[in-house]
Amino acid sequence: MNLENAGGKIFSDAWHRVAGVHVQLRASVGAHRQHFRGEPWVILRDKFSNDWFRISPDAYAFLCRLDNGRSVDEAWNESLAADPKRALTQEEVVQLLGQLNLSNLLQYDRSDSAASLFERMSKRKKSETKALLMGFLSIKIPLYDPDRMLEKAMPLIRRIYGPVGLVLYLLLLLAGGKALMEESSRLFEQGSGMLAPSNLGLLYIGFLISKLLHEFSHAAVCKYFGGEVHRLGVMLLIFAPMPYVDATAAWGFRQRSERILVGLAGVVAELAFAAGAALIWANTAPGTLNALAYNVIFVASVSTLLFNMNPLMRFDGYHILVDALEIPNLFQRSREQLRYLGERFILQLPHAQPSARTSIESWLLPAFGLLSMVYWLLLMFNIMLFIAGEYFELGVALAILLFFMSLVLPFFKFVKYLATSPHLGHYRSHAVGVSVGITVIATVVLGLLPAPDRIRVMGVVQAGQSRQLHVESEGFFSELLAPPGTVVQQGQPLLRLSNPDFDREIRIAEMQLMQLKAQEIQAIAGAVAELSAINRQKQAAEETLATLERRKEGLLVVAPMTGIWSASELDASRGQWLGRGASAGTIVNQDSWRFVAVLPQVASHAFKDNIQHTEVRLRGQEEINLLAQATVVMPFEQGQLPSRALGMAGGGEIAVSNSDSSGLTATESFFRIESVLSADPQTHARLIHGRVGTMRLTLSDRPLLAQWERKLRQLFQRRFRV
Amino acid sequence: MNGPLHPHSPRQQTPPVATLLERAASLRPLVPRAEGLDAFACQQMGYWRRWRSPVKELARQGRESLAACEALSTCTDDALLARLKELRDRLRLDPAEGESVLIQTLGCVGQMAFRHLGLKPYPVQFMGALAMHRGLLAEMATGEGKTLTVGLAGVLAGFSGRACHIITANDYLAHRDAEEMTRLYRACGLSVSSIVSTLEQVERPIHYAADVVYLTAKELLADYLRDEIGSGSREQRTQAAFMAWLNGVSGTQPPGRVLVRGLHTAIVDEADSILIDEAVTPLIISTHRESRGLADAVMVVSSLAETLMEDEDYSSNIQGKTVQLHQSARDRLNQLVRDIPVVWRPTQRREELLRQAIFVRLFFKPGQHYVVQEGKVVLLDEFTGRMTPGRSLTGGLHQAIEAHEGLRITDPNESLTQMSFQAFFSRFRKIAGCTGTAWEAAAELWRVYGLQVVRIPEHRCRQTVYRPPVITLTRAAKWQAVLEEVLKEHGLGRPVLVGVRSVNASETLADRLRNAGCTVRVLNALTHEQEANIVSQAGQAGVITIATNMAGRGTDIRLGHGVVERGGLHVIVAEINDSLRVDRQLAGRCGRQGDPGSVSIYLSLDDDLAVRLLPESVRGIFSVLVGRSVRGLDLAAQRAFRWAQSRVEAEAFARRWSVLKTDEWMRSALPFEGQGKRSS
Repeated sequence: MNLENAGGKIFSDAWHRVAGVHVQLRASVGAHRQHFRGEPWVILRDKFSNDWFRISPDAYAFLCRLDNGRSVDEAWNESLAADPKRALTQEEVVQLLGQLNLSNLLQYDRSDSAASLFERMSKRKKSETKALLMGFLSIKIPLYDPDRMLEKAMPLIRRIYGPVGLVLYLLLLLAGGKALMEESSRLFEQGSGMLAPSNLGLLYIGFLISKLLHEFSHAAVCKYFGGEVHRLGVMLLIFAPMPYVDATAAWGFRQRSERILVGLAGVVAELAFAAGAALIWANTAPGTLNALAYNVIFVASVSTLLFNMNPLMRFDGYHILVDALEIPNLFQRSREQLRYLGERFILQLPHAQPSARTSIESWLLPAFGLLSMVYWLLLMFNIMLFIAGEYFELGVALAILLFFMSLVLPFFKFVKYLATSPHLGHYRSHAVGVSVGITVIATVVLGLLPAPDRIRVMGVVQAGQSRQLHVESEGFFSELLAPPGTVVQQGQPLLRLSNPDFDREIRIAEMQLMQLKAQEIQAIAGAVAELSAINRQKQAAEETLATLERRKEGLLVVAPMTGIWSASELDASRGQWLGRGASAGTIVNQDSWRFVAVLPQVASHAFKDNIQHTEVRLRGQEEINLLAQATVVMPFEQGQLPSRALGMAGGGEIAVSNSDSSGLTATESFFRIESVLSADPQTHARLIHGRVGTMRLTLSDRPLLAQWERKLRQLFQRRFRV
Repeated sequence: MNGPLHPHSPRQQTPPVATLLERAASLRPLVPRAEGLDAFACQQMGYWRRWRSPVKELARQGRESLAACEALSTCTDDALLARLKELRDRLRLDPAEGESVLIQTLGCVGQMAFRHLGLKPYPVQFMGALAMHRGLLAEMATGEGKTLTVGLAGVLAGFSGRACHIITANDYLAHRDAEEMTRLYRACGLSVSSIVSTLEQVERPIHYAADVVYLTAKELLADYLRDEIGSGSREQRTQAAFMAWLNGVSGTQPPGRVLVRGLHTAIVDEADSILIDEAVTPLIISTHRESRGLADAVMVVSSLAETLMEDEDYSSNIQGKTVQLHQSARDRLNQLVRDIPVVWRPTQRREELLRQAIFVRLFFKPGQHYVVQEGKVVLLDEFTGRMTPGRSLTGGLHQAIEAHEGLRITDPNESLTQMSFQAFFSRFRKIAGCTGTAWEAAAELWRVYGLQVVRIPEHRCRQTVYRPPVITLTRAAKWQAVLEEVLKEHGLGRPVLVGVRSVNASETLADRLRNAGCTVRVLNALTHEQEANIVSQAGQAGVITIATNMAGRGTDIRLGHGVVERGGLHVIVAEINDSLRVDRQLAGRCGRQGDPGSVSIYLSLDDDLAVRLLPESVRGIFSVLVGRSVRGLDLAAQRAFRWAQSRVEAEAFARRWSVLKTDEWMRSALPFEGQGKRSS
């Protein structure tokens, strides 16, 4: 049924259906004017069933003629006589009455058409059930009619939402803000424990209270402006029960500002609650009340602003936006505009009708449509991941549902549209051709054409040869023989330690040896039987002496190889005691470099593949692309990171075990990738030992679809270990 | 057979008598079509049922009926009648008793046909009758004697004691078939009548009171709708039926009712024509209404339309039959606004009028879509080529044609009530049918009417020779080729039937043939009074007949003396139709009852069908290839034209479906049809 064409058809073939009927709006239907973008409209609303309908003033003028016991035909003739230009055509009347009747807004003098009422009721029930099933993430269960209670509370409401209330409200916000500022350090400290399991109960209680306030505030403001609120109930939002009230009466307010205020009321109340909670939190000692207040601060401010005021979700923010922009059915119309764009520019239907009527709408609608769609998908995806983390099977069920709703269903709908939509008319084959063409191209490009397949991993630069120097013998750091940071030659002494203990012990050992030698001579002379024992003792004493001599020599630290000696911390420690094995800096040979990267297990497909080429970008020198050669994935799992900087403790991405204070032990084993870096003089890249960088491995080409599929699998693997 | 009805069935719990009476004589309530998955399931069920067709079982029963028929050949007439009465009573007492009674009855009726009509039914005719008795749609090849088959089924239906209407394609056939079968019905103790459009309203109840009534769908639906407007509510009718039953008198319906026996069984001859082709437009009972200046407005706009140029002031889409106005046309219309009556002045309304005026100029062709007779526009039926007096287009189109032709503008009609044929026939308690061409439309027949198509095998092998199609570049070349072929076949002494699409084309071709020195008979909407005469002569040796689609369904061309030896009737399809079924019907005029015959088809790239629906590229390829000796070109061309036809069919189906959907929307949105005002 097309209303667009109805305006041109004065006579209707279906006139006989309505001509003799005495029909009028139900007594419970109220009407009032509203302006949308400067155009006047009449809004009809049935007070009992809360059904809405928007009609043009001309149509309303005709409906008014239907009162006073005139039949439709008589009323039409009258309207034609009164103002032929503005009178509805017969076709328009037929359409109007039909649609009003389908919305149950009419009463008429025919007794034997009651069956159609039941038909409509069962249809409506069916669609409600369907909507319930499709919108399983927000199920509404009405419980209570709060209208009388609000009626009684009206004096209070008037005061709260009056000027005095406003002043108090602002003061409260100020006080709350001030309290938060003063305690800001403590505020964020406590924040890390917000989502801890032990806190979830309190969090939820805080949430519930603030939402209850939120909903009552909607109801109160709606009532304040003269609307009626008849439904209070529980909404299962993602299966979590939350209160809701039905303040749709606000849609009928004549003033746009009033409608917007009703929409804002919830958030306004929550902010007041948050401010109050902030005051309590700042002025109480730790305890349940304090913790609860702390939770409320966040729930009633941040979460509300993020969710309720977010116009992309269909909560308060959306309705406020709709009113502010004066684009009713924004959501629906944005979809329609997207559909128009698709029809006009992709399927190239010349007769496609845009939903946008103004130039602003023509970009606003598609932008909103796209944003809300992407947002919805992301939200659903994250909800799915979150739930799957907690309850795996439920998550899988959700994933299947999401897949069905976001891919299978639209696809099915599109095929149905192509096959049966009367809108396509003679362009059906054209539309099918374009769709098939796009599908084929997409399949070829995504599924068959090989595209570069790359993975990025983190790693560190390491010199091809480097040596950690350790002090071999303990002693006081007495003398620096070569300046750190310079090139030292192999065998060059670097620093000297002094340890007087060694001299003493050597002397003791020498004297023991002398004593033993004397005993030996004595034994040769006298007791030959003791000779062998003394010999053994002498040998031991000689060994001790040799060891001590070696350790004394170890007090002189010598460069084991040629390279740059870096020992920044040594300068400061002159005269200090250095224990055995203490670090004496590093010698790095600058002739050859390598890059050592860490490949998480899930990305182990890189292993079987041959790596085409490897590039490295170092932190701080991102503009320089270094080519790495001879990349090898070490074919065994490792647990120790090559550098602390790669672990989370050092600012990297790999999770490290908490028990290891060095931050080197990864919680999950990984593969090590090594490749040779050549210092290209042209790039001026400065290779520094230990510098963190990103390595990009280019594997053999494969189609994008295969790559995406793998990435998705890896995501699930990492998340759920399946 | 006018006794009270006996609808009791001992096995069922008896519902109130009045309800049963109502059921026996009224239509079913309309059930909305299935949608979504239900529709899909329904479609699959249709495929399934067609696939495992009951044709084998029917064939067996047909043979048994023939045996039963032959077994009775020694009976005396009186004994036969007594036997028939006994069987009839048994059948009526318990319709579900079993097939042996049914077969015995049918054999008996067959014997009656042999004795009183001189026609002994073939097994395939018994099969057809049995299929129709089961409520199936029997597809029987053209020329297999469907009239007798329908007659047999009609007798069986008449035996049930319930109203039986046999729907024919036109008045001529209704009258002819009823006449031909009268003796059979009489012999079986049934009364039969036919109703044609010229029959006076007061005489109709008498005719409708017969056991079996032959008539067109239009007459039946119109009378039904008139009754609906005139009579009281359903409750009142049920009450009246109950009173009639109590008093033992039938026919004491509320006065003024035409359909005295109500509706129960419909047997639709040429079912595809009636249930599909004619179902596009709903039947509207209308009366004239105040025109509100429409006549003036149409005249102003029409004179403007004369001066507008295509592409400059408006553009049209031949495929979709749509017109779009350009700014220049709008501006010029704007200048005329003062001349237009005030009701029609708002932009939408006046532009709609202008679009209609242009539409009429572009897409309505005199001689093909309408003819002008006695200062009136008479529409032609595209499928049957017949005039449809009394039919008019709605929404101002009719007036636009009148203005275009310079006739007096009639007042627009105001519909009193309307119903689509689809809604009407799908509500019969029992519907069956037969036709020569149903298979192409089997899916639709199943979906809309719940009618399952069975293909009844042919009695004798068809002898028709299908010559390869001839494709030409231009229309002129085609007519020349047709002319030559007619002269060639005429030279052989064969009768030739040329099928064309429009009155004008038939006249043009006739003139050219006359110039060539032949005697030509033309059968078109303007010569419909001589139809019977022309048809009876068309099979004689050397007769050339040019016919519009009037010579399609039901036209039985009997071959004259010596024609069989010369090769029988030659049919030339000179202008391909939008529907393959119509072409097949025309081709089916030859080769009837095993006679020889031949068919040739002429295609041209200028044909309406090709211009409208063949893609430019395909036409381009053919225009290069035509005239060269390319093997398989003719078959490829035929394929392409068939494809175009299937597109037209799909479009037509979409239109019919939207008629049905609109109907359903109206019924649910505007359920004010009932007459009963709220009493309290």
